[in-house]
Amino acid sequence: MSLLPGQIEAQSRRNFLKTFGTSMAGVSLSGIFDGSQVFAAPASTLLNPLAPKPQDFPAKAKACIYLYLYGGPSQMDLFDYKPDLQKSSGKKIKMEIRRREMRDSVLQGSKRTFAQHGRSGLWCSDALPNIAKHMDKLAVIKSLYMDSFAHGSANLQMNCGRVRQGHPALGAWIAHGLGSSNADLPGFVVMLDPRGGPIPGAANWTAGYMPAAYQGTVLRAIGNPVLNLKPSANVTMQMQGDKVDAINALNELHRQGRESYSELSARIATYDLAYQLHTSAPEALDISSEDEKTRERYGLKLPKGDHKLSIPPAHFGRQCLIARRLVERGVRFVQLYSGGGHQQQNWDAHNGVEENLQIHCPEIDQPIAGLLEDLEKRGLLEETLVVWGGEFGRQPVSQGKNGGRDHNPKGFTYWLAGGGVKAGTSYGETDELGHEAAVDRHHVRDLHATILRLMGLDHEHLTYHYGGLDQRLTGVVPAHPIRGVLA
Amino acid sequence: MGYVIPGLRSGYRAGSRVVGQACLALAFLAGSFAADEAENLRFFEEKIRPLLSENCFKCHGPKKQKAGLRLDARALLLKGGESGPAIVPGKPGETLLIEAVKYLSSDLEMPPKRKLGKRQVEDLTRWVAMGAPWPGGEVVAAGGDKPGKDFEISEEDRRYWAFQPVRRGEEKHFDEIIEATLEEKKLVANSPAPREVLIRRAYYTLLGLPPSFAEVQAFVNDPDPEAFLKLVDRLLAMPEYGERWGRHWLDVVRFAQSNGYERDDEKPHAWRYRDYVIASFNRDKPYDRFVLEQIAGDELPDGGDEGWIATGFHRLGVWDDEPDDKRAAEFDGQDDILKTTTETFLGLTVGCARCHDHMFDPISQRDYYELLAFFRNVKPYNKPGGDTIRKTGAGDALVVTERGSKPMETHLLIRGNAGRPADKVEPHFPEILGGESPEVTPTPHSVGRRHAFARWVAREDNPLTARVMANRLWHGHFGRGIVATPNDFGKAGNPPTNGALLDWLASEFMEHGWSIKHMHRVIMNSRAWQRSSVGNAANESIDPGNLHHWRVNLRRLESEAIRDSILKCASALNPERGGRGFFPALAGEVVAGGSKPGRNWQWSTPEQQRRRSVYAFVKRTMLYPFFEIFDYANTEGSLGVRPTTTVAPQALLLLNSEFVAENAARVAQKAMAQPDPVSSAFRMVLSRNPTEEESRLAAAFLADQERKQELLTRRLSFRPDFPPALFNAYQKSLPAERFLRGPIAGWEYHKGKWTGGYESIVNAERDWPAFALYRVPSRDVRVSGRFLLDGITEQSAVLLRANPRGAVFEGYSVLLDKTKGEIAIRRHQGEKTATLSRQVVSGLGKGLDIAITLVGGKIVVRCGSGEQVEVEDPAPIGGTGRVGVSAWGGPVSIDGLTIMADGQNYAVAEIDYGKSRFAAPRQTEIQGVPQGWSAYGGDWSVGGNEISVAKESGPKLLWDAVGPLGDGDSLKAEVRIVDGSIGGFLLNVREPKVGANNWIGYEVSFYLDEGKLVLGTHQNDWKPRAEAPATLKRGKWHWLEARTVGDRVQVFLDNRPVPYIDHRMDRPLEAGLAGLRTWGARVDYRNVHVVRGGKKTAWLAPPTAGLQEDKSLLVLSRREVTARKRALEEFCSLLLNLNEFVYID
Repeated sequence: MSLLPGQIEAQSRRNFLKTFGTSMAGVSLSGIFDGSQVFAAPASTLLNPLAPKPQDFPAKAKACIYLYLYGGPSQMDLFDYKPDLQKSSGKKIKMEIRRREMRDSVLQGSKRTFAQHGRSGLWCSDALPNIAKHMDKLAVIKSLYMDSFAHGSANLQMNCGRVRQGHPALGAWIAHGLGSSNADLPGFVVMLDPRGGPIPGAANWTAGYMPAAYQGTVLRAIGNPVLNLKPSANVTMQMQGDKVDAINALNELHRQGRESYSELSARIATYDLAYQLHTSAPEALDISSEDEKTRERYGLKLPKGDHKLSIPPAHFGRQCLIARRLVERGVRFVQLYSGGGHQQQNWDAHNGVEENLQIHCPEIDQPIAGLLEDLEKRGLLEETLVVWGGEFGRQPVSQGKNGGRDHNPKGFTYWLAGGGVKAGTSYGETDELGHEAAVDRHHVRDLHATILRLMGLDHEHLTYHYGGLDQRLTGVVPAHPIRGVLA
Repeated sequence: MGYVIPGLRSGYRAGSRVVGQACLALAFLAGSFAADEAENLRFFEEKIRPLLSENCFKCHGPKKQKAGLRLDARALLLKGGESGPAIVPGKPGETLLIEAVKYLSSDLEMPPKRKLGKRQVEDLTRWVAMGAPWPGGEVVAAGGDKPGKDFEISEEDRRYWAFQPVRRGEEKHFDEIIEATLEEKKLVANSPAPREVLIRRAYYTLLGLPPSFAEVQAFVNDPDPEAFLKLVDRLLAMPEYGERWGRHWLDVVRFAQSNGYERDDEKPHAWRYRDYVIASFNRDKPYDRFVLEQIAGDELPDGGDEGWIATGFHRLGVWDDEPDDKRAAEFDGQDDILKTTTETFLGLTVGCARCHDHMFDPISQRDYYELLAFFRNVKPYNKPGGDTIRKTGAGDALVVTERGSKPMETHLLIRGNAGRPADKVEPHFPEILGGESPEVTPTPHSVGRRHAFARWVAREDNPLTARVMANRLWHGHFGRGIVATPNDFGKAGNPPTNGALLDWLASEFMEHGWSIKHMHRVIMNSRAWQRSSVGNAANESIDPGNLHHWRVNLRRLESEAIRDSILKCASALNPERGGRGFFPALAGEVVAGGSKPGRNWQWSTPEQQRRRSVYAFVKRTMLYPFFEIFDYANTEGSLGVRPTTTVAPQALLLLNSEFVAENAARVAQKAMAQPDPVSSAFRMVLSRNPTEEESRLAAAFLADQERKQELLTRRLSFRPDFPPALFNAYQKSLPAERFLRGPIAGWEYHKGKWTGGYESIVNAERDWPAFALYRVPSRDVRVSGRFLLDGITEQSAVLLRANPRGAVFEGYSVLLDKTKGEIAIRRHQGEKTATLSRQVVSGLGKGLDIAITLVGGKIVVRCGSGEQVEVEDPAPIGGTGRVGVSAWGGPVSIDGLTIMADGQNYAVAEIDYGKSRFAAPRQTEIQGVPQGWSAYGGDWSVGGNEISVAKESGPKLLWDAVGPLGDGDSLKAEVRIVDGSIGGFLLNVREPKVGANNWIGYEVSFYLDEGKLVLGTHQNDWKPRAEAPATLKRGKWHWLEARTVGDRVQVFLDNRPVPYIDHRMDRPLEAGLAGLRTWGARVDYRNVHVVRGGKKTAWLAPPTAGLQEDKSLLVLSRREVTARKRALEEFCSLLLNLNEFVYID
């Protein structure tokens, strides 16, 4: 045979069925393959966990990009300007460093220079010079607090609402509440830092007690984007298509007499849908079609920072760009992790906050600025909610020999931008030292309620029955959307 | 409460200057203290009374007193509620009311719906600072008192079905109850399912495995009318039964082998509990005993070791090794035990009453803490190796321990807050279930309360216990319980579809000694269970959910049953039972999700990876995707019903996963040998013959695939599979071929360079990715082929004259860099890389024909697109010939790879799968055996100066080339035990065969775990003869030398001058070959040699690997066979994807 392997691909799909399908009596595949849903399939809730669902409120944001700075970024070195702290730097103080544990400490002012930016005059330090240009787009919440001094439970609370393991993540709740508007792609996507995931790993994007369909799908910006997306053996896509067709044909024979079992039809449908994913997922991740300017905007061409632990901005930049592409294609919730592994490999600045900023700020500054700019330019910012923050903040006192800062869940900063957000807002305050949320304090459950609200969901109505209770993301303690940041 | 400044609350005690500044901000409050009383009262009437009335009285007024608090009189404010006084007059900083309205504490935020305005908060603060003035004479009767006191059980609660005694009706068999309902509902029962359906249903129900074709045939043709009865009995007697039903139980008890959270470390010996559960089901342990053992096996007078092991039940929960709040964490741990215990055995969601009375069920918060008192003395779980480990006759086990026999006090906790203890409570059964006080007898090590609780649970008059378990059994047989919420028999759960049926089963269960196997027999021999699954339009309109059992519903198999079935169909299921379990192979992208990717995960041998799913290691933060995608149990809490979702990733998994591909290849391999491969594959996978239509379709598919596969038989694919960062220990334990997946036979794999080492995490170096090498017979070569870089692939390289130096190599590479769109010729020496030349080329993303020639120091690269790169290296790298491939980011495929060496063209293609490591080890198929040696079992490999063997039972490698050792000759080598414990030498070997004991000779082995060196004899058995203590270190090289001198066997360790073992044999064995031997261990050997008359004989030269039959370059002569086989593999994989395979009728 003279055909080259590459030429197999050129043959049209479903050739096999055309050739051989007609020989099978009673096999009708029409109606099964409407070809529009990959991660979902028709029928009841369990069969179709990701069917689009109506919002509780009309909301502008259709999708959310959550930029997660794993390790806990230092608020008083980035957005929460504290002149009193600067003045008191070097003074001794007793401070609660871990739960109910007071320690003699020394106040440590920021070595960054702060300035007010834009018409809003929001403060941002020179550690993030590019994000600083976009302060007018942000609503900066400086008065958040949460319940844990430890990464494991803090990440869980930030992502899943509880310090205990086993609860579904915010993205899973949104997938549960809204379904997916493009079923060719998962509703909840997670992309990790190449240095590793956050602790405690997959529990941060779990569906918990909800069906696994709601859990975050880890997409890789490089490598195989989705687990098992490609055949492990030497099989061309066309051959894969033939196989799917043959499976469908045999399944269809099996379905005869079992029509009342909708799950069989649903499962048959997933095969064609899986086949489509072979092309739709790589397409969403393929940034080669983006023009040079866009690539530059996301920092893909910038060199790596000086520090040996830093990585080039292209990593996070590529993920930000892919996040935009996913959102454009209808993915509801994209969570990007900056920082992986341990301590200085992420934003956990125990061993030197200046060094930590030096490592990580260049990794995210241009990519995030580029994302905000690009979203705005494309008119997507209006319908996209961008969330920035980590699992907690940091202490105003120094730790270790290299001017580190320890964890601080009692006061820290998040910012929101995009659909439904009151842009150019500074909301809430920490105390004079930046240690503890003081004015307009909000527990993170309020942040969750806010995000849900901006996505058109009522945190009190969004429930899932498990363990004898109608569970909520925000738990049993009443939560309130933070009105001050809603447009 | 700590230091509070209104408007500025801080957890720190600041230096005076800072406080001074803070106070300035609140200077407006100063002066208010001096205002006169009338003024104050006016302030109250104008500002405070309306504020309280509007915002507070609804919940804390005359009608309601939430949390026991009423705010409509000063006295009541002073008295306060559950949390203490609401105000401290004059001290707003210590006033709970102020804390609440400021939302300072996450669990006390008032009003709950909406925070008060800033002004209102200031007013309230000011009012408290004034001393909380209130007009006199307002005395109101006290409202709510202590929590729990308001709780009342209504008549309706008492009449609730689940709390009524179990009552059995007149019916002899439950079929009568079901059929009466069917008649009443005008439903027509389906006829019985045919025997071929029944046997499959029975196998899956009881074993979670399919019957073989022969088993189906035997059953279908069995003339005995009792054939099904016999079948059920036979299946119930099989050990696979316990593995299936034990796993159901493990769902309910939130079984996992790790703690969860940050480190997610292993719970040591947790698997012993899993083995206990499996054994209990297999032995048909009476359920009441099963209950007693798990709750209080340690306290039972006749509990024994098994009783202790059973209490591992209390230790399985999630545990945070670095809790934010240790006090709260202790109660979280106890809550986990109480919640799991009550949901598991009683179907009650008692956990809901931790913070407040149960919302739906008559369980008060007091009930919760009175129940908690039974478990209060249980010591919290602690670090591994703590006192939760107990030595038993069976080995160490994870068990419950108590804080002695003196009870700790249990207090009701306000809102479940560990920092707010209230009334002391005593152990007590819930009010709604009789509310008795237990009779408690302490044991020497415990307060004996769990035993009292367990006895109460296991009582026949407990209305819940038998019902709950009977319902779980029903759920396991029909896919849906009579109560569809098996963990919740309360009002938030579903009511029973047929109460009489449930009661009949519950009483049958108790009357037959709580025998679970009896219930299987009763249920499976019923008409209801044997009905067919077909549809019936009339029935469906009346009872679409089949709640009344007019048919048996078709059911999706669980993840474990799907995986185990695939292994069984491929005849690859390893029946090994019990133990710590195995680690399923994880793809790189899955490992990447961990914060220290791969930490606490391990690499199990291919044999281990073929064990039943119930023995897969369960790590909470890294669930095996195969399980997870098919709705595996949530490991965080008790689970009564697994969801059954239908999503595309399931299809992707079965279509594309390596696991399915490997096993499809096994099925195909066997089918090929049969006269009719298609029918044979159907019989193996679906236990039946294909229909005519299916045969026709199969034939068409195969012909079409074969034609297309023909074109691909000369395609080689290499796919990198690793995350860019890995935990060091995992990176070391992973075999090199896991980093770059590619053809197996004939290629040697290397991990590439990993550096960094920050926090034990190493990073893959982009310039030194994992690579594969293929040996060629000359230094000068020409390599050509069509290179296809996948869309996600960033670069790939062809390696030339590549001599491996550990993880890297010396030689040349031709880099195809898609990101830069160029080809570069590079030179690698001494871990240094120099680019000799580079050239921009087009078409790298599309598939490019490339021919590379290397002669002396001259390298020429010609591309199909016309570009050419060439370079002359003035100092050519020498060494023997190896051609290699590497890839970064994604796969590279090479079509028609041809290598010209020694003037001859060789086509390189993948060797037939059957010769790969997937096949059962046979002498001729062993890989990587050095020349002059023969292997008897095992997966041996050679690299550099080392021979390694994977963990397996008793592989042997004998040195033919040196012949039998003479008197006084030594076998000497350095030995390193990497994983496992046992490995060493063989001497005087005769009649060797594959198999643990099939040979005669001496064995000298390290027993690392036991710290000794053992000499023994094998005469188709094993007899230890002598031993010596030997302190060995894992991963360290130790010199071992052994020889026979007359009737003595002498063994030397680490060249010690004094003989280590010098043993005289009564009957010395005849001379024979020398060799290497291990037992369940990964062991490396290096510098293996024989000392003969003072002269060394080196172990091999040169050190090469490769199939024995693959001494020259591969010339593939079986292309047709391969194409047909590949097509058949695809077809077998297709069968494993069918609905019929995944659902049972």
